[in-house]
Amino acid sequence: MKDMNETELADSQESIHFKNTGASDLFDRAATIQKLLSENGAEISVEEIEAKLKEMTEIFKVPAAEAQRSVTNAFLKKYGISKTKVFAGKGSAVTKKIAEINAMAGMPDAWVNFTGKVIQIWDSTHESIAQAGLVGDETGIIKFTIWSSTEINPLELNKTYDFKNVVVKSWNDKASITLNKAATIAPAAEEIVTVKAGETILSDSKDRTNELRTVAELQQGGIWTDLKANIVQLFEKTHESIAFAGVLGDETGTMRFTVWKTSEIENIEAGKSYLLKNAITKEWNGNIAVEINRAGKVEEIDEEIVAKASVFELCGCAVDIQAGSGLIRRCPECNKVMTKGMCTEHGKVKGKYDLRIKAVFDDGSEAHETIINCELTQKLLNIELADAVMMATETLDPECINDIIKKEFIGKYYVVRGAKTDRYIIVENVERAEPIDANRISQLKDCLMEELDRKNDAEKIENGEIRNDEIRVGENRDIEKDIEEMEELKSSDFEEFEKILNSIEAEDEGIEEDEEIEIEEIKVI
Amino acid sequence: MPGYFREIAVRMFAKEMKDSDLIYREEEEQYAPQYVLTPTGAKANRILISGVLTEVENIGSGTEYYRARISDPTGTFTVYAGQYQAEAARFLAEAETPAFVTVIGKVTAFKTDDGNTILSIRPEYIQNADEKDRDLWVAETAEKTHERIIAAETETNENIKNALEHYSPEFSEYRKMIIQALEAISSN
Repeated sequence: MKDMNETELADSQESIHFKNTGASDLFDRAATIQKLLSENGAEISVEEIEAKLKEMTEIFKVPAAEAQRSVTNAFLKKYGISKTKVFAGKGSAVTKKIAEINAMAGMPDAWVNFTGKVIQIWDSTHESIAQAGLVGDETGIIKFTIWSSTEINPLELNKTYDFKNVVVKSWNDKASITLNKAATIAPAAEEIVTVKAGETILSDSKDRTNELRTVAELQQGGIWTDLKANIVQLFEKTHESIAFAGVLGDETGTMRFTVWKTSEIENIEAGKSYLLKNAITKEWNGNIAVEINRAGKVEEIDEEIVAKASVFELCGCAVDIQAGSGLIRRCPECNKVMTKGMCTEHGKVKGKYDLRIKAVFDDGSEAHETIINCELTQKLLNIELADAVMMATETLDPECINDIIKKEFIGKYYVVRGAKTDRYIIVENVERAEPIDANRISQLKDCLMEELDRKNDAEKIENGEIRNDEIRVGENRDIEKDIEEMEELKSSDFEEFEKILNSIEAEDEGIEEDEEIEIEEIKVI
Repeated sequence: MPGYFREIAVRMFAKEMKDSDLIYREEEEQYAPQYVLTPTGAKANRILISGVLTEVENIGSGTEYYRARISDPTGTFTVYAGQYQAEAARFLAEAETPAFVTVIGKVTAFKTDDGNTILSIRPEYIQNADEKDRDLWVAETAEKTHERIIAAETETNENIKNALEHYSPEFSEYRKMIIQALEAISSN
């Protein structure tokens, strides 16, 4: 994605460049190319270039501008000149103050130059990012990102640099600075002394003091906090810059956590309780996770924190078995699942076999993705890992186990229990669903019948077949009972009858009056 | 996980599917998912059905192309499987009737010359089931359909609005349909 954006930018600049040449014939175009190449250290004669252009336009019938573009790029490629670098200079990077750059939020990407002081460097969250952090000048601060594809030397904290040919991007109505191959950074002649700090400036010290909060209190991103928690689960390592990742919890709940390598924390064990100091919450896809970066500390504590069980249970139909189920191979170095005999990180390795099921259970309201581990898979399929390996070898088909899984699971109803992470349910137990409960059916049926009756009655009233009050009396059990009682009193005596009715009415009115008073009192308060 | 989202398998009875003819795509593109909006306001791309396979016919000329009929207590679903649903086609080629089957698949629409829309199912999976799973499906589908009816009568959202406008559904008819389905499974 990021590389594509870079290319798109370069392309857009290129087309500006070609349009601006104003070349009316091939010789002019050839001269333009010659000049450009010469500026970048490649000396080619105008005639040679013109010949190429002719070939493109006359034999291949390519429009002149397109021919110019493709010939230029072909020469650049031939002489190993970076396309981005050549064209970036042709763009219109304007020198601006950071406050002005921030004001560009919501606008299309643009190129700028500015001078700024690095006030914060963050931990890289992705291998394609070399550095990220905040730079500031006397007008404001802004986030910057340097892609790994650049050859920019790492920036140093508190130093002032001239940033040239950087891209202003807008994301979520906030502007930020991106440095791609076209960018250059050089130490500035004059140091910026005072930086106008916004609220987003965060202390980077291990000694700052935070409030001790519970998991339940950490419901949004960007909170610096201390936290006492138990490590519920440690994930397989996900990235080389992550030391530990998993799920932690206290008595109020559980959440994901990430400990970055830069924290220099070397030991965290599942099941133990720790005090996390200077942790920061991050929001990711609507989920809150807590991170420990270079500013954070993790200390083991004697106190035993019991994580609130986040057991998730569902009853649903198995609707899919995802790729990566059945007999799989894992890299012996990093335990990652290999694809086609390759580990994405360690290349061709002799993998170790594992058995698992990635099943989707659909309960009609949500499709739940689950992972069933080797132990449970062996039990469910009644196939040992070694047997599975043998079956795959014999049939020459590693997918054969997958077919068995699909046949066994798809279309059947299961009760699944497990720990819910942000995407998967790590299954602890899975059982075939119990046969349908007769009560459940009869209750629903009764409910539907009643709804139909009510509707019928409503229609009858509309059609004038019965009177409204007839139904009310019928539905009102108390009055029915009263009438029964009255009949028991053998009230052929009409007066008696009326008295009772009146008394009931009076009681009703009394209640209403009381209620009114109460309401008024509340208003007064 | 960005951008990932799996369509749930909507539960609906054959009668409701038969009554449905409001087909739409959320985007204009050719490959954008196609949805059917049913009279009770269900918006379905993928559906889950469980019933009895009653008939399988190879209607392909040259290549194998199967049409199967699957019955639930309220009506019949039609399933088509050809070379792009190889596993389902193989299943149908070898299937015996009658048999309990469960199908997970996508709703597809076909417009006849006289302007009628006929819905069928293109299976992702078709598998043998047992009576227990069929009963569970009927109960679940009954509940889900009932929930949709209640929602359509009491709430409003885009789907409900469009469904009411297009079908002017008689909900007592669908209530009777649910009762009929429930009676079919409670009688044994």
